[in-house]
Parts: sequence; structure tokens; C-alpha cells
Amino acid sequence: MRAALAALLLLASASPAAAAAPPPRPAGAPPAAVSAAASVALDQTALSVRIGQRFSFTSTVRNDGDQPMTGVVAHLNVLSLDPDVYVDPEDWSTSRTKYLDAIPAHESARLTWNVQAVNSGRFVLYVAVSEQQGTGAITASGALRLAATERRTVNAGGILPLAVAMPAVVLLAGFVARWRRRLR
Amino acid sequence: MAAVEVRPATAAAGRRAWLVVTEQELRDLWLAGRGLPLLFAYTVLLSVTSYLVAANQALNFLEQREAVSLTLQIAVAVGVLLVLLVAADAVSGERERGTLESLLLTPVPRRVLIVGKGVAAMSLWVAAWAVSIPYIWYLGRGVGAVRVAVVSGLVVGSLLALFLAAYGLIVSTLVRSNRLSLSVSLFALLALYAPTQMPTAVQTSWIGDLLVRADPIAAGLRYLGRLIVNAHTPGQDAGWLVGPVVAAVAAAAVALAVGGQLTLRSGERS
Amino acid sequence: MAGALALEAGGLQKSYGGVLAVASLDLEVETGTILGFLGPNGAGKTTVIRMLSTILRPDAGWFTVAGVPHSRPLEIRRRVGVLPESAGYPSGQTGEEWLTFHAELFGLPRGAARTTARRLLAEVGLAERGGSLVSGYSRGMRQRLGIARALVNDPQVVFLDEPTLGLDPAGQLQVLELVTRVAHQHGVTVVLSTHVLAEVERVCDRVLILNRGRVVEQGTVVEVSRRAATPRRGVVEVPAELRDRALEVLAAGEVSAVAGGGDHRGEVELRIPAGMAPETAATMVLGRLLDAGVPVLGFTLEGGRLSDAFLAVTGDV
Repeated sequence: MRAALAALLLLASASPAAAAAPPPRPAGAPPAAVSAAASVALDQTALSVRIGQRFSFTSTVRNDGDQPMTGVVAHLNVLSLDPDVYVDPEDWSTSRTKYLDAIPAHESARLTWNVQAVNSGRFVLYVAVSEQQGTGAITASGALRLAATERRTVNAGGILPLAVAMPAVVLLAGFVARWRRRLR
Repeated sequence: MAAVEVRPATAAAGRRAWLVVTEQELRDLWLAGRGLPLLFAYTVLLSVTSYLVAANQALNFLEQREAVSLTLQIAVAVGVLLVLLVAADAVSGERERGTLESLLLTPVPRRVLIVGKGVAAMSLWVAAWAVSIPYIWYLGRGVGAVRVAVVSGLVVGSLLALFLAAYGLIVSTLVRSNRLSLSVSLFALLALYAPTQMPTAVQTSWIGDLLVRADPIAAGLRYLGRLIVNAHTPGQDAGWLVGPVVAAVAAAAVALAVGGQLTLRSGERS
Repeated sequence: MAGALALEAGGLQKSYGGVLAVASLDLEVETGTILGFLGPNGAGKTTVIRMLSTILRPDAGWFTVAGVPHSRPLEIRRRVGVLPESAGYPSGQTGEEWLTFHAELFGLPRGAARTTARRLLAEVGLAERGGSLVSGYSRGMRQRLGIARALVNDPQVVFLDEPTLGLDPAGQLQVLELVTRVAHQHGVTVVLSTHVLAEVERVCDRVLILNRGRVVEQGTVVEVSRRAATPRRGVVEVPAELRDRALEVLAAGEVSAVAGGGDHRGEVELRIPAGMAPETAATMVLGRLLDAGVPVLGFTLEGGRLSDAFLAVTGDV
């Protein structure tokens, strides 16, 4: 009797653990953040770029629940690890909010994010997903750590010849035109 | 009395009248007139602006795009101002110099005279745009903004130049005094620049947004800013071009209609 | 073509803001005529010329120029040449460039336009200055350039509005000679608007006098002069010692005679009564004196000049 009860208890304790087991993840991908039904995974964890460089990455939104997931909204966020660097996410990507169709149970949707590094420094990018049009839980992905190096391309000394030459050319053209008229 | 023998009119075997008028207006402007001095002043302004912008030692990526945008917007705004200055003098200047009657005595339709003068005025914008390319290239080459700046600057600037050329011609045709024509034209231009100086909070309100969209100058400059600084695609903010397009087309139509009625006024010297 | 009309107008009228500038003007000008257009300032001469050259639209009336009705202004402009009063010239062009430009506007190809410009410059005496900027031309040179411009389209009617304005006497003479030569060589009808009556007397076949927008007199110079200002005074010169005899002889006639007040003691001033033709008076006076054996040393009739006619019909004193 006691053995059967212990076996039952073992079975009961094993099921939730099984149910809570994380879904299989792509090889090399970081561990996914988990909520009741949704999980979001990024295909990269770190990236190094030059300032101004454009890049893209993919996020996979998976419906781990038994019911279809509706009203799903995914949003890209950028934050700076350097307090002196101000980040305006609008400058990094013009399409930071994506509205998904309903995701059937145990299915996933892939989203591609196009970004341009408009500041230099160290940053973290992540994707936050809300379900049921915000009434459900908010799930965030893991971090994509970005290092953007500076590149200075303009200097005052370099533009000086241009700044002098252009008016000089126009002035010369004016003198030539006037001289030709005076010859008449 | 016997009917007088009607000799055939001089055969219209030469170039089309509009081509003759346009060529003469271009020669008057560029070889004998104010074209080159105005262009010289324009290049000095661009040189000073771009040098000051480039001298910013802490230039990061976004600020460089802002530098390109600033230079481009100055190039467009001042370039079309030159067009207005020439157009506002086009007819009223002829009246004051006494050369209008000789033109009216030819069998050239009045509208052709207006078209020729309009083309000459717009040539200043073409020259200004061409001259601005080296500056835009230098400032924008590191951030991939050169082509979009040059092309969008040409499109927006051409629309604004056409609008202001037509507007200047309208005022010049209707007003007798050259000084009054220039004054009215410049005042109107200043009024059109005003919405660009409104505080951001006002610009983003619905009334501010409507004002900016209806104002072809403000709308055109806003479009350029979004294209360059925010790296928007050309189609993304195409709605901002509605104002400049409508203004350009409407002004051109009115200029042709008004120009068709060009005549001497009572008491006017030749 | 003899008898053909180069200009015809009926009931032409133009007002500026309620002020009547030209009132019901009728006009007929035969082909080949040099017509003098006279009138005081504000008479409406320039307004009439601007209407006939289609620069201004008349408020009422009709006209034809070279047989073309006023409803076809472009056709008329192809057939007329105009030297406007106080015309301006572009300072940044040469004379040849400016004439070539206008010739092209009248439809000539560029090569033909340039040839025409050079020919006309030679005709008006500017051949050597055609390549110079107009800004360097004197007043007289600009007027001659303007006349050349009026001929660039080989017109049938030429309107010259004050062509000698601002010129010295030598310059005026040059321009008038040019006008006469051009009229005869090109066979054009010329309408010469001027204040200078001597010019009209010298050059014009017919004269038309405007005053306050109306035609007050028109005809040949002689007709207008006689009709509008018939001579009413005269002076006859006789030997000084016979002046009293002359006064005695003429006292019985209809022409009154008094001793002249001039330095010459033989002068006798005559007053011709109204209604008597000057020729009749002259015949009577001379006949009486000769019959009485009084020699006539000189005889002049005063008045009967165009200037007198002008003053008479325009009311200027």
C-alpha cells in the first residue's frame, strides 16, 4: 500500500517537471526566456560592428502552450551600457514593432530585425513580446550584446581646399565673363 | 479705296520663339547679369557652413548625418531663394528699365516670354544644386548619405524652385515697381520659412502638422531631414511632398495665366 | 499701291481710370505717307500709337493696320515697327546682339537675323559700333538703334514716337534725314509723333493734330496751316520817302495799312480783314501800289505757318 502511494507521489511530482521541461532549442542558441506560453529566442548573442554599419538578426517567438496565441506584439529595444551615450531607438531601426498573426499551439514565428548602429559604444538589444494585446504576460528574449566602434570620417582641414576652391572657381568664371564682355 | 496689299508676314522659319527667349534670358543672366555674383555668394555661404560643420571634433555618426542634412537644407533653401530673387525682377525690372514694350511689340505670345524668364530663373537652382554636390559628397561620404542627399535635394529643390519661380513671376507681372515686387516676394518667402522655426511641441500638434504639410518650403525641408537624419526610405515620407508638388503645379498654372495678360500700364514709360 | 490705306481707324476710344485719353478717333492714312502726329502733352498721341501697334486694347472702336483688322494683333505686330517714346535698351548686350535677338523673335533664322542686324546697323550709321555694348551708346546712337529695331521685321508701317527727343540740333537733323531715307527706300508708311513742328514741316506729307484725345485738324501741312491759321497780317516795304504816298493809296482799300514800327522807315503794316483770302489781299495791295507808281521793295505775309495752326487749334498761347 505504502509502495503504491509512494509511486503515485513520484508520478505526480514527475509530471509537472516534465510539463515544465524547456522546449528543444536550436543548436548554439542561448537559453530562451520562458513565460507561461511564449518564449523568445535570438539567433545571436554578440556582435561587433562599426558605427553606421547595418546588420540584422532573427528572433523566434514560440507558442509553448496548448492554445493558439493571439494578439502577439513583438518590440525591439536598444539600451546603452554607457550612461553617457543617449540612445534614440527610432534612429536605430524604423520598424521596431511587429504585429504577428495568431501562433498555433507549439508553433513558432520567425521575425527578422534590420538595425543600423548609429552610436558608438556598448549596447544590448533584446525583443519583448506581449500576448493577447497586452493583457497577457510580457516575455523578453535573451540579450544580443553589441559593440559599435567609432569611425571619424570628417575633418575640418580636409574640407578647407574645397571650401576655398569652389568660390574661387565661380569668381574666376565671373571675371572671365566680364573680361570677354569688356573686349567688345 | 482699294484694299492694301497684305505682304506675307515674316516667315516663322527660325527657331521656336520660346527657345530664342530662353536663350537670351540665360545669356542676360549668366553673361551680362547677376547670375555669377549670386552663385559666388552662394558658394561662400556653403563653404562657411560646411567648414563649421566639419570642424566639429566630436562628430559621431548621427551628427554627421545631421551635418549633411543641415548643409543640404541650407543649399536648397538658399538656392531657391536665388530663383525667387531673379523671378521677382523678371517683368517689373523690364518695366523699370523701359525694355518691356519692345518685347511686347514682337509677335511672341506673352506666355512664351514668361516661360523664358521662368527657365532662366530656375537655371540658378540647377547651378546651385550642381555647386552643392562637392560639399554634400565631402560631408556625407563616410555615412553613405551622398546619393540620397544629392537625389532628394534635386527633387525637392526643383519642386520648390518651380514654385518660387512661378510665384516671383506672378508678383513681378502684377506689380509695377521692381522694389515692391522684390519686397512682396521676400516677405512671402519669410512667411513660408516661419513654420520651420516653430517649437517642436507646436510642430507635432495637429495644427502644427497641418501648417507644415501645407507649407511647401517647410514640408520639403522636413522631408529632406527625415530622409537624411532618420534614414527613411523615399517612399516612407512621400506624403510630405504633396504640398510642394501641389504648390509648384498650381503656381506654374497661375503664372502662365497671369503672364498671358501681360501688358503696359497706364502712364507707363516704354 | 496708290490710294491704298495703310492705316484706318474708326471711333477709337481709350480711358484710364475714368480719364478719357482718346475720344472717338477716326483716321485714314494712305500707303507710303509720312504722317506727322502732333499734339500737346497729354493729347493722346502715345496712346493712339500703342493702340494701333496692339500694345493697348481700345475701349471702343476698330482699326486696321496694313489691311489686318485689330482682331488679329499678332498679325499686325508682324507688319509694324515701333520706336517707342523713351525706349530702354539692355545695357549688357551689344547693338548687334540686341537687333539679332529681335529679328529672331520675328521668326528669322539666326544666320539671317544676324545678317539683317548688320545691314540695318549700317543703314542707320552704326556699323562700326554694332559690336559695342549699348550701355556705351550716346543718346543719338540709341535712337538710331531704335529705328533699326523698328525696321528689323521689314514692316509696312512704322511708328516713331518722339524720335528726336533729347537730341541736339545736329542729332535731330541726322534722325530726320534717316527717317526720310528709310521711308523712301523701304516704301513704308511712317507715323512720326513729335513736338517739333519744324520736323513735321520738313519731313511729313500730311499732319494730324490731336488735342485732348480728339483730332482737331488733319491734312497736308499747307492745308492745315492755311485752314487753321490763315495769315491776317502782312508787311510791305516801299522806299522811305514814298511811305506816306503808299499809306494814302492803300487807305481807300479794304486792307487797312499803318506805318510800320520797325527800324526800316519804308515799312507799312497791313491788316487783312476776315473773309478775305490772303492771296486776294496781296494782289489788291500790290496792284494799287504799282498803279500809283510806288515801287514795292518787299512783301511778306505773317502767320500761316504750322506753328500758328498748332497754337490756334490746341488753344495754347
